[in-house]
Amino acid sequence: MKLFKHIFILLATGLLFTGCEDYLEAELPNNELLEEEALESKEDVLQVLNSCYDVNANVFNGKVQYAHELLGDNLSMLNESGDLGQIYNRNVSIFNGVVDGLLADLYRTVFRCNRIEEVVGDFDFSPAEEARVIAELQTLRALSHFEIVKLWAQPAGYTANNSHPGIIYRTETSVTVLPRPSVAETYNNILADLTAAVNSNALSVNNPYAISAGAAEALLAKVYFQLGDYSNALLHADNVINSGAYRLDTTIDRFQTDTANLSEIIFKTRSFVTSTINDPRSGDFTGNYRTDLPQPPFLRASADFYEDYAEDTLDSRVTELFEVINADTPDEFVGVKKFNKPYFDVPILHLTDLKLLRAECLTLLNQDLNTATQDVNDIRERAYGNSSANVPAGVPANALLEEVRKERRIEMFGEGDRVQQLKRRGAFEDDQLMIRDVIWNCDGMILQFPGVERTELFDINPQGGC
Amino acid sequence: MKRLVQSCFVWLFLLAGASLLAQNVKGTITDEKGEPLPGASVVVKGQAGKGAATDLNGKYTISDLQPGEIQLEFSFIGFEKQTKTIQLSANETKVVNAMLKESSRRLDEVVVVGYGVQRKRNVTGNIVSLDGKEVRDMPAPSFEVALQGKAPGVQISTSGGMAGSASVVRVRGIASVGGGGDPLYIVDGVQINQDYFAGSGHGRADAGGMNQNPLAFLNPDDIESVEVLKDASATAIYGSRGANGVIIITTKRGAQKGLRFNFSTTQGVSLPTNRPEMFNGREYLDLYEEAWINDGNTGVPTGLPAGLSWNEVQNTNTDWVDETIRTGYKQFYDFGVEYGKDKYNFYAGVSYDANQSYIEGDQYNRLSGRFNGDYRFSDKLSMSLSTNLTQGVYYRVDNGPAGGLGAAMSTALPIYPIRYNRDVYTQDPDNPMDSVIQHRQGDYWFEGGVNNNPTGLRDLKRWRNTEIRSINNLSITYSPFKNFTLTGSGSYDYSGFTEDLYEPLDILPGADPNIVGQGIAKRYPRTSNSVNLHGTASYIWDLNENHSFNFMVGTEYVDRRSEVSNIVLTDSAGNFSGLTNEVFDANGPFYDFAYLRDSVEFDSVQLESQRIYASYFGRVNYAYKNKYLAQVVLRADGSSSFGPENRFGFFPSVSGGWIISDEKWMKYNRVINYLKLKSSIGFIGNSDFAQNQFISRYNFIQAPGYNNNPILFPINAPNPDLKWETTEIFDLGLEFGLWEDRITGEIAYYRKNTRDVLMRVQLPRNNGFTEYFDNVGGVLNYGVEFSLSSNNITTENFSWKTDFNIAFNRNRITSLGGYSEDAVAGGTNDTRVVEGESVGTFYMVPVTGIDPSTGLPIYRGINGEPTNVYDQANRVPVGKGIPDAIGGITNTFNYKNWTLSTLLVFSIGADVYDHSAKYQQTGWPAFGNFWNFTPAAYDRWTRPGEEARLPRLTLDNNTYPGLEEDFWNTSLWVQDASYLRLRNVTISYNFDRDKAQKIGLEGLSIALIGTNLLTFTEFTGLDPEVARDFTDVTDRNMSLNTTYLTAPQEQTYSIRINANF
Repeated sequence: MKLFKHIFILLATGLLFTGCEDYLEAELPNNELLEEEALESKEDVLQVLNSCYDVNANVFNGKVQYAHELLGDNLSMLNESGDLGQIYNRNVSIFNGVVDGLLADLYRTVFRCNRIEEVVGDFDFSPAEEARVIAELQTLRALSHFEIVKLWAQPAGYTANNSHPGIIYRTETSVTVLPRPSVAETYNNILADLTAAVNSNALSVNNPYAISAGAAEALLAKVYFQLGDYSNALLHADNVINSGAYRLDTTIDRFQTDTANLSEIIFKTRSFVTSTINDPRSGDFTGNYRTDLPQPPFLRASADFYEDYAEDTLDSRVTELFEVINADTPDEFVGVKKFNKPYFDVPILHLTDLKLLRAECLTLLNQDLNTATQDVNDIRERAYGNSSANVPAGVPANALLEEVRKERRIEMFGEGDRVQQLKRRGAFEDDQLMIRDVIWNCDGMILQFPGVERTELFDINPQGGC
Repeated sequence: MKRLVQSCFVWLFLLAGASLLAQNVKGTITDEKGEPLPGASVVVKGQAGKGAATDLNGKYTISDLQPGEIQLEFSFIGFEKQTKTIQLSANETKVVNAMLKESSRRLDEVVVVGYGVQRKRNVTGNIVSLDGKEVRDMPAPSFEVALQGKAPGVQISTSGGMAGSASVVRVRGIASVGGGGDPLYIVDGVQINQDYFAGSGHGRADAGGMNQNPLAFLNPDDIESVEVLKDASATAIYGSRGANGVIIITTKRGAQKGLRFNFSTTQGVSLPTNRPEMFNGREYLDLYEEAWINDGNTGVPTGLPAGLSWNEVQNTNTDWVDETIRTGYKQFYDFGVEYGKDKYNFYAGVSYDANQSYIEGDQYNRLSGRFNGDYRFSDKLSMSLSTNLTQGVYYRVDNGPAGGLGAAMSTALPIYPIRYNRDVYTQDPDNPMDSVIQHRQGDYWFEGGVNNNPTGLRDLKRWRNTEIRSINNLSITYSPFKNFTLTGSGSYDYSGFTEDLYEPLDILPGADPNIVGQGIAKRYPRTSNSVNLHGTASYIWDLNENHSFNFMVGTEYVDRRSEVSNIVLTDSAGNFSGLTNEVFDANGPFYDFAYLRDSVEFDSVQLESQRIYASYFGRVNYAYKNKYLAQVVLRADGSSSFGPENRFGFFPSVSGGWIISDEKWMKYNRVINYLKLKSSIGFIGNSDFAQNQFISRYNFIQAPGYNNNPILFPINAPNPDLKWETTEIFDLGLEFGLWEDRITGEIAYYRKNTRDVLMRVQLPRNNGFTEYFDNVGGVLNYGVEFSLSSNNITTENFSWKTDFNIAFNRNRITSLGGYSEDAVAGGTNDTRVVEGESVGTFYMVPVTGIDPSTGLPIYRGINGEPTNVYDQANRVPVGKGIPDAIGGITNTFNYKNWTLSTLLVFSIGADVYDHSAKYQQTGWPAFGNFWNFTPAAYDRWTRPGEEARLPRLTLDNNTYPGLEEDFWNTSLWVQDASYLRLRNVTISYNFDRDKAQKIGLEGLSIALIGTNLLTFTEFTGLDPEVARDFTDVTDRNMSLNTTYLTAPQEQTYSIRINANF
């Protein structure tokens, strides 16, 4: 009998443990929250949305821009080594840490956007608020994917129906192994997101630090432009330009701190620096280009770029944003003064880009060349301070196109635009187009994926080396 | 004092004797040499409750016996039982002495198993039992080092050189990838906390180029025995964490031999097994110039690092290896006292170990105390207490990739001076026409980088890790009736770990030479608390002569927490602005300056991690006629590592044994006196894995967040389906004893099939996170173990015994679940998981040779074609770090009082990837790395037509086609590292007892011990036995046998004196 008594005591002791499984739930470290604790109100969801902007700002702090520029013909390097040297030499290793980090960060933004989309319906947003949140995250998601497809896939037009390998477009957060879709499918997704955002009519009008209606549509215009769909690009660029929400500033410098109230900026990231807060978001510009520091800059303007503009001493962009350093010595190089500040806001979408985009579309479509000319001249007059370098009315479309593209190259220097314009031209206009001595569509002209991207369903890019 | 205690005992016994009445028996029990056996027992058969234990002099008395024929049974642990029948008349007191023979059957020994003990002959599992002495004779700070070569299938890779660094222990290969691959350590029944990455600040896994040893707190002299549990039958009872084997350590408890004191000391020296040879200044410059010329340059070479010119380095020649190594001195003292009596026994000990390695500045000091005691309240109730308190103080220096000797073997160039040989002036920024002093003569020269002056860095930087460790266990055993026992045990494992660093401003670039004695003091406190509760109930049921059962059920609960402490920072308004562990403008480290300790509060205590286990288990042993054995173990384990759906794992095992030699037809076999066949199959789990990965977690940043608004964001890709990694283990073994145990041995086959392997997978980036914790694929280990113990010669004055063991293991990844080879990487070591290959395969581009015409490498393309372009798409498995076979041979010779023992250990078939060789043999300045060369660089291409192992030297990063970075990890650096090593030689002399007694001692022995005396290997690197610093658990599992500036093992010469009194 006593045996049963003791066994009972033992079992009872055991049951104390097994009564519920709470005793097996470990506490989280102090700085962590369970999702159910973290997301309790719509304010919490908005903080997650803010974190999407946060990652986006870390990507557009110069990093994604120089990833494009290094593939193009605008830059030269102090020495062509390291991770950036691999990009410049068009032979990115599957272990390239910068490239890996960039891809991961771009998809990190996407993940957060997707998570918001998955849970936003659980919170007490008004329909308008919810629509705005969704439109913002759709645009941010499209923006990230747009950068990825431009960098890691051959451009639209590389194959007739864009059946060549694109990039995975993520719209949900589960960890899954997905096949590599075509560029056509990728762009269809981008367009779907942006069109939905634009059509939602839910976005704000004029907050340059958030996705606004103008930002979504400006991006849509740029996507169509990259696709070679100039009619649609023109349509949406027109909408933004004609909205009246933006106007060209008098300054040639769009890379300014938040105290400068620049009216041409459609969307930008913010460096928040005060006497007590130090949160710069322009580090990969200031860390690589600045010529006003003791150490020589790692990234410089290429001779190819500078030669196109150097003789025009009336162009304030040439004289104020660039300088020849160590002239007439073996160490001579063209320094970029454009980013010679401790920190600044980084413009991502702006009116100058759209006006040049519109001008190029009009020229290519051979429509309304007067507007195209005016767009170019608006920018020229700002650069020269007068109309002395204006394109005269009535120049032929071909000649105007040259002027538009010349403007675009110097205006958008450092913003990661140039190489994608060249690729678009290679794809749709000149299949023999060369970029820094290699054909525009050689294997090394796109970035290699990190080795871990390779799965049974996903073939990474051919190794570069061109 | 001792005499007084003895007198008291004698007096007490006399008092007891005064009460004798009627028939009595008394006598003395001795061993074969006539030495008294205190604590031996005498039982009167057939007269319940009648019996006695011998006193200090081996004497016993049993009174109040019934007259007539009585049977006396004499027994003592380790001796054969003896029965005597006597006739006792009324009122007679008879003297009956007994001389017990030492048991020749090691197989009759008792071994510790999970939650209990078993006689070795009844064990159906695979257990290796080692005596504490085998552990104590190795002068290493931590006991596990001594296991190598002594337990078949147990691989110990001692971490290079440093006094406080951790070893890697693998039992029967490696079954885990992302889960802990080390065996579970149980000290006196307590699952101890064994965090290999806790010793380096907060979140810094291998700072300073090493992982600190979490087992070094244990004084080897406290150890009574070590049991290694290997198969499912043995380990299933620790189901939750037994998949990688279990090592049970039992500490001394006080033998029942009265009062006994023990003192031992070891004094020794430490040297490297192999001194690193590096080029001198002239040789370095010659090779630099050769590279310069190879690239088509002419004239005086330029481009030396640190802005040095060719001319100014001509006369500098620093031997940095000499600067960083020394003859280390080791001293160890241990004092213990044991006392045993009917009611209680205890062991108390204190020890001090000051263990210098041969690396200058590296020293591990341990001061430890232990008290173990047992108290028997009655026949039914007893209590045991085990407690120890250890202070480990580790004086650290940078090593390996972090600097120190590692720098001396790499980037500390011989052309760098140690100190300035004159004052150096620079332009005064305030007055350009004037100059100010920049460096004084005698200041350390840091212009080549702080790490590249290891002498200066070591002298100026202060670094100390201090750990207070205490493991305490209290258990109560209650036997309410015969054969039924209840045991309750509670234990508390505490670790208070503090890392202190002090970095003076002097080592910072551009430091003002006029500012002396200022710097940054860093302190990283971490406390770990582990509570372990378990209760068991066991019942022995002898149904009849043929059938006997042993039932055991139990439950266990383990809760581990670790917390880190930080300094709270506030802004000018007093609001919280962050946490830190650093104090600027300090005059020295925290441990030297009371003002720092008094004025700086580490009052922000943050939970770092918590891990909880709860388990329920049962075991049934059945023996039929004591020769057919069976065991069933069931264990259910809950772990906080998994979500509610997968929290519990169920781990059963069954095993059986057949003692063939007990069969009638074998009884009289003249050769085989013992033969047991045993087999087991079972499932064991592993959840030693990153916590909270099954659930979505967020971080919140209030300020600055983004755009000065708070941000809230997910920090992981949760995997709600995470579940236990499960290993199915099959074991078939044969134990044998030949010629009356003159030769004993065991042969075993095992197969460990691990499924749902826990891996920290590198995710395709499109998933939004880089890491993911997943159950992926499988790992298979199988092998054969063989051990043999032979008493070759046994005479009165001379004996020779040989112990030999060898274990063959095959290991391969059976499935990767669709992930790529790059999904799991071992740190930076280019070790990968590849289906069909072993865990931690070296995955690199193969080099087939050097083109004699150009001096450029020729690679093998993925289809076997030669190519001169380096392309990572051509990576294939080029080697493995896991050996095919390991083992050891111990020979012990006894001649009169002399004993000579030698231990040879060997490893066959493992490769070493010498990660640093690519720099040490090429210098590799092309990519901005300036490394000194080892003599291996002589085998390089220097002119067209030359056949060489190494390619041409170059300063130009365009010389090697396709190579865009210095990540030139190729098969050129992978080499077979099979070795045979004379691990230990011990010569000892045991003084005769009478001689010892002349100087007031009961026993005295003196031993000379040498370790790592000789190594036979084809490996051309520093040391074929290598365990480098690891960045995390996965790296630790994957990157065995990779080296990156890892210091060689130490060679030691010691003298050990052991005295009993």
